[in-house]
Amino acid sequence: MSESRTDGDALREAAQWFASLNASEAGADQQRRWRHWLDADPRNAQAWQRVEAMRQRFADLPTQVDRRVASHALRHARDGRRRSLKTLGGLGLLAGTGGLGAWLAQADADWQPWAGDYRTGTGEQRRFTLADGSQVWLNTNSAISLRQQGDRRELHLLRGEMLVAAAPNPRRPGQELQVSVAQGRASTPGARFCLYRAGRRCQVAVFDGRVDLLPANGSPGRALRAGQQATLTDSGVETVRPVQALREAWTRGILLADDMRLADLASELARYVPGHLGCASEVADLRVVGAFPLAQPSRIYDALESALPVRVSRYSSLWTQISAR
Amino acid sequence: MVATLMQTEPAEDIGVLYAQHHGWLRGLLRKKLGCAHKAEDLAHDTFMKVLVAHAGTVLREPRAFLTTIANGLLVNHWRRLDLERAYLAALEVHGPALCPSPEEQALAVQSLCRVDALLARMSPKASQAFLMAQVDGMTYLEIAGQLGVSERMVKKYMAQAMHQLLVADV
Repeated sequence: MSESRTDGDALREAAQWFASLNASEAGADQQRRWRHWLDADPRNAQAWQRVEAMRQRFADLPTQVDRRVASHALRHARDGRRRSLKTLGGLGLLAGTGGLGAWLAQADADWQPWAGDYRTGTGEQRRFTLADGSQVWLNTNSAISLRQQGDRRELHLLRGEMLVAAAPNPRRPGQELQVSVAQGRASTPGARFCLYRAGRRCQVAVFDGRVDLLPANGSPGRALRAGQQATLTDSGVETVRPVQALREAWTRGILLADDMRLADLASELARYVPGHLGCASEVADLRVVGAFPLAQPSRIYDALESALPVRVSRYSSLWTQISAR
Repeated sequence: MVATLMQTEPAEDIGVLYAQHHGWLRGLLRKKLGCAHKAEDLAHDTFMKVLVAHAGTVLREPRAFLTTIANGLLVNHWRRLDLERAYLAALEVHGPALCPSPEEQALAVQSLCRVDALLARMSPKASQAFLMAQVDGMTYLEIAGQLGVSERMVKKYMAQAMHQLLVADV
């Protein structure tokens, strides 16, 4: 068993095996080699289970619809995809869900069990699965390290932003997953939450479950439940308030502006684009509302120009400025 | 823009949200859908989605947020109509021998919507090959003939399709 194989490799191989075994000429020899692959690594068996489950979702169709009817319907419904005129108008609102799937699908990262650092560059996002089934999303310009400390699963957020969907361990229900930063740590047996480090402050937003915050300076800890967000600083836990949807929307490739100052939007977007993105003070306080596609900054600029009295000047690929029109 | 203050209890939040914006959203949807009944359904579904998926979120501009969610539901709605229409056309083509009851038809359309959503995860060529293999039960040789590619390419499409299905499942 090679140590450098990843979870993503097992999935890719499982998909290959699916394609091979589905071919009519697949014989006893193929079957034998497939079984050998299944036994070679527990991740292979897990990946294959997912293939089977996915296959089942298609196999149910003929029990509900005659095959020929289903085939005909699925083929001929393919034509009405452009619906932008039939959805509600608005600033930068996405008219379909297809594009986001592609954005997510590319976030398939190398996975090494409990070792090493993971980094993303500007504009890069990655998603990966830990050995215990927990999922981690890493946002632009971020870095984390992982390790297993006895019974505890530990992640350290070195820089940037991450969202973790911590799966409770069914065999050890009390086992906690912990994410630490310089200012303290967040732990939970199972939750979905985001940490965003900016300077010496770390925002923690909980979307599901419950997370316990423990400041590094010894001041009192605090439990956050779903829908709450707080900031961990050198002085302790501050500013408990309702969660910002912005802190989750990025995992779906969206920058969600819920009545945001243009200057703040520019700062947020600047994290994802190389070079400089500035906002002139005379337009800094304009309010923005909408869901913007992070994978396409130029669409965001277009949307801003069409909805606000601003001009987005792209002086070079590395210098963009938003100013009054 | 006026900031709307909300209490922190989710149940109260949704009540205030509903009272202040339900009528407006329903009006917008009625214009787009041309049907008051459907508009009421979708408006209701939008608030349900907010209650289930976003409880506790304070919205300082609720209408934009509601619009985003409603748009997602609208897209699904139009897609479902496309599939329903295609299903009825397919029934005509494949003969009156199949006489599904209204309940059977509803279940059939639901099944089709689910499969369609899965197929949407794949690239066009891969989804064609996958559809032919999994729904039509064609061999790779037959699919190759239909698509004008080699059998080897068909096998690649199948692997691609399955892989795209799996990675989109978070």
